[in-house]
Amino acid sequence: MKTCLVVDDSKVIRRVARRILEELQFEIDEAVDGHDAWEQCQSKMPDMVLLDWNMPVMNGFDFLRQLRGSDVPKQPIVVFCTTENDLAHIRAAIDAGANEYIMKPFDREIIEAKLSQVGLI
Amino acid sequence: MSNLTATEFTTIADIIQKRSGLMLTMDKIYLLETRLTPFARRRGMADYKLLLRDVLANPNDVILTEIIEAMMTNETYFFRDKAPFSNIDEDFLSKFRKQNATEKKLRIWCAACSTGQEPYSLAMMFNEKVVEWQGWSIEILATDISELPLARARAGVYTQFEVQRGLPINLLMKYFTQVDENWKIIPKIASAVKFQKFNLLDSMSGLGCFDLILCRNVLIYFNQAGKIKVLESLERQLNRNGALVLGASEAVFGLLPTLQPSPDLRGFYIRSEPSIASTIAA
Repeated sequence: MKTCLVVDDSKVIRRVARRILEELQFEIDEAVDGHDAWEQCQSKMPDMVLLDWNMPVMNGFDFLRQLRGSDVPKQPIVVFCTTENDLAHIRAAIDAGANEYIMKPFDREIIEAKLSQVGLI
Repeated sequence: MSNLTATEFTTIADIIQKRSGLMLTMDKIYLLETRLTPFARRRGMADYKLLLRDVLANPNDVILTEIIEAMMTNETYFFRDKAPFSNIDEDFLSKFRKQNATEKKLRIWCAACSTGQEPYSLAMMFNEKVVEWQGWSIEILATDISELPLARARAGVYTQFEVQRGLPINLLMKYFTQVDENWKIIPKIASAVKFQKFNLLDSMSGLGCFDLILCRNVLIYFNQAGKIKVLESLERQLNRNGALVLGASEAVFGLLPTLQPSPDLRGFYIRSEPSIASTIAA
């Protein structure tokens, strides 16, 4: 079973994402911000990170740069999932190493399509 | 308002089938309600039954056309089902390019393009391999029976939801510009596709012959006679070594006598003989 770390400061979004991803046969862990996500990745690296942008303590973009700049043995697939829906943010995320980008609001169909794009399903 | 009688339903279903091929059985009566109620209300009528009774009593070509358009299923998305596109790109077209290296001409027809995601996906695919296709004349014709989705296809503007279904983010960044909440395809890709209104039950001879015809998830809505008629017509319009691509789950066993199902590519039917249309033309 593939693993996914859902990183979002909204409990509701984490719950919705968890439900969809569990239906797609993923095992889910949750993090409330970029710092929490980084700590969890150091002890257990997931196959995929579903990543919000705007979060307290450490935002998703800073987390991504830290992750991609690290020498972890296996980099996970990172899919941004954010309300930042403009081209400049999308470009910045992809340039920083995101594999895909979901613009909120999302539903199961969009998550499924994006995971198919990155070869996870 | 009393329910439609069986005779009323059969009469309207016959009209729709003769004009569009769309098969409507009694168990699909809910489709009339869900799709025609908004149209009926726009015309100031309380419900779809009034609209249908009115058009049966006073047949009107314009209203019938609009009813048929409202009944069509326009479900589509970019790179739908993924596999057919990679099969077209990596297998069929790479062979085709070698076989036709002298002539360097390729004609493609998306036979029921709806809001345009399929032909635009192909146009983006070609642009991604612009070096390989240098010097080629590539024509993509995209047709649909309904004017409304065609107008959307020509405009090339898609919602955030639509661009997230099947379109990789790198292609969104490369081939679309943001217009408020929506995304508009760039002129380079838009101009690579020619859109045209066309009913698959009409004569196809005026369209010429094609090397690749995509008619996916369309014939499932036709009855057997309509399916055979369309398939026979599509066969005639296919060039030698050309392929007809149907939906992967569409059963056409025995209906395509001159086309061979590809052993490797699901939903692909290949013509190994010269096309009937080109033979007649010669």
